[in-house]
Amino acid sequence: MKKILIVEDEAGISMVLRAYLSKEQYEVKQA
Amino acid sequence: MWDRSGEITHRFPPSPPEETRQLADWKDRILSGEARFFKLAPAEDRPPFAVAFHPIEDGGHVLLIVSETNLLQSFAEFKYPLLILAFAIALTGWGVIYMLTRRLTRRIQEASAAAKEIVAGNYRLELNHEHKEMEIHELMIAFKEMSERLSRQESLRTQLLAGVTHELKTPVASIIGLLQAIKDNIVTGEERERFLEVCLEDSRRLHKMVEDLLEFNRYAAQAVSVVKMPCDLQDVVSDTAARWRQGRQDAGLRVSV
Repeated sequence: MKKILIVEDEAGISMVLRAYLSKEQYEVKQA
Repeated sequence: MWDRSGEITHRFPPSPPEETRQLADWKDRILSGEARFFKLAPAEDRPPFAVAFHPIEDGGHVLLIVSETNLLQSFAEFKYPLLILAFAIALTGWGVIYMLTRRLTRRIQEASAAAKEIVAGNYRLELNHEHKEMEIHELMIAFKEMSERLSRQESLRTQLLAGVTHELKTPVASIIGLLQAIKDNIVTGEERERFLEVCLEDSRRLHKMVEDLLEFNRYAAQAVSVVKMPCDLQDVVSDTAARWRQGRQDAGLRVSV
């Protein structure tokens, strides 16, 4: 599983990114 | 030249024209001061002679007898230098006024060019404000200050616009992303509810920002009237602290006034 780090201070945008990336089988982490 | 009794003491030329014999008829009037200037009747076809008398301090009179033609010629000869002198004075006056107005006009043109630069949005003016004329000096200083102030205001306006645009764009992007994720069925169940809650929070935040911006504009346009009135400072501080306490007690924060 690929890992990805999200660096975004806007909560809504972080949630959207996390949702889409998780759907694509990424392991998402929030900075 | 006559003595007190009207007798000729000196004369030049030694042989005066025959018309001067008429002076004997004028003698009484000349000595009494009744006649000072008169003409002698012309002899043959010659022009008449003009006679002028002036008393002298030791008594007697000085007589000047001049042909009327010569008199007019002298007058005409004197007229041209007078005209030249008047013309020279007028020319000098015009030159002085021209030089003074030219200096002033140049300063005013400089101010006018600076005003055009400001209208065109160029606030970085290179104005020479070392002028001898106090009014021009003050005008240039005022122009410089005005351009610097406008430059600062323009810079602040640009920064404010950039900041406001960024702050408005961020929640809009968040709302669009959240709704799109819900529409694409990326999230379901509780997560979907959470997405809707965040979407609602962002919408409220956006609404508040727009309201704040409108209020700021009303304040900037001086459409908001400020009423000054005495108030109890303790009440104001207590009320503010009470509002601040709400929702923060759980975080372990305590405020004492």
